[in-house]
Amino acid sequence: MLLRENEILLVEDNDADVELTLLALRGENICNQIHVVRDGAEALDFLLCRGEYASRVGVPLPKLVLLDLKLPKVDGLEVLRQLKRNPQTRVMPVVILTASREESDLLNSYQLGTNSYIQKPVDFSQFRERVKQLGLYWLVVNQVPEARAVESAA
Amino acid sequence: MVELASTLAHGILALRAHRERDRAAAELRELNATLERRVAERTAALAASTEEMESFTYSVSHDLRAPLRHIDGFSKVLLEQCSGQLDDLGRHYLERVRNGTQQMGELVDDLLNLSRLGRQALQLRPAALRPMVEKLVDELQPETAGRRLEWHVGALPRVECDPGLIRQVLFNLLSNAVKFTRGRDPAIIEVGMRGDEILVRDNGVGFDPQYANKLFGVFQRLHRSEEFPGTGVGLATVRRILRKHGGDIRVEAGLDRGATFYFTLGRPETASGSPATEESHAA
Repeated sequence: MLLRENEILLVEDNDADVELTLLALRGENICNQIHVVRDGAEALDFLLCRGEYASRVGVPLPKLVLLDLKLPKVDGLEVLRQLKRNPQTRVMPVVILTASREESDLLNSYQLGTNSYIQKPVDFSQFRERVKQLGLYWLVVNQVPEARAVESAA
Repeated sequence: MVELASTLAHGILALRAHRERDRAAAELRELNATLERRVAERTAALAASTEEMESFTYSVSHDLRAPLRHIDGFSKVLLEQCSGQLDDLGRHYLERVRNGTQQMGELVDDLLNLSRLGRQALQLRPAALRPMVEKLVDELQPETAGRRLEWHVGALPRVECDPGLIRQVLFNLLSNAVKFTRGRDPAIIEVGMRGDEILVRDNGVGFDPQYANKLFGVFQRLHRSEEFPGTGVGLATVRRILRKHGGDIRVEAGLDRGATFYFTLGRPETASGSPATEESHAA
């Protein structure tokens, strides 16, 4: 079985944010495989092996999903809802990485089962530090059930 | 006969007076109703515009954060990875850019907090202020390292308030006192009661009392930011919190003679309380 030891899926629509997050993750050498998708619909296709990602059936899920909330097509909360409702993706850690400080976003994310909620600080040094910590924690420290693959397109 | 006529005339007069009184009463009732309707309309309009402004402030400051994050991030990376290609002047300009974004980040955060304050309902509980002040004094310790600073914390009441917000009031006042006594040896900061008012007094740089009314406005600063850093939102936030509680704040100061803030908590604004009193002082 192909193990995607340290693969992260980054769900982010903004170019600049993608680049900064990659800089932070790569700079720390935490993760060698980062896949980027640009909206909620693509994130669901990727993780549930549908549409252009149908060939991913049998490929292990990423070890971590970094999910923005404001996304085109399907928003982050809906992506989260579908991932946590689906038995095939439920165990995969999903971390909300957002600019939102709205209490309601925080509450809804946890009610839908997010594993963590991180607010993007304006200060890049702080952002890099947070990304480093979350990468270390979720990819190195934290234990999850053995990497699983979605067995059939959901 | 004469008597009868007189009685009749009296009766007619009384009847007229009665009718007039009735009409006047009806007019008064109508006037009252109109007045009440108008007050209700105005209150609703005010509440709506307050709400609109709060959500406007929120979305503006929220949306401002994204580009700001990008400027901060890329200028940082530029400084780290490409600074060899820049000369001193280039690096100096880049530092200016970075200081600008950092300052704007603080402003946006403070504005967000201020707008959140307007939208939040008070979570009232009884709270003892003295332990709260003592804890804050401890927390401020790292900022006063290497300075001779005397804290005099007197008796303080136990009050019905939103403890999280009152903590913020006290934090802003105490950290201001710490900030504006920089260079005093020793710096003396006093917290206590005078009559019904709670006071926070410092022997810092103070300010010209003619500017006292400006102090509580949003983005109002009486010192250059190079001298004393800050966004100018702290005291606006303080006043807003206190007014939301039904209290208020005032200040006495002299240039180079320290400042004393006096505040009351009053009776907290209830859910049905008019937001109008709050709004007239908003940003």
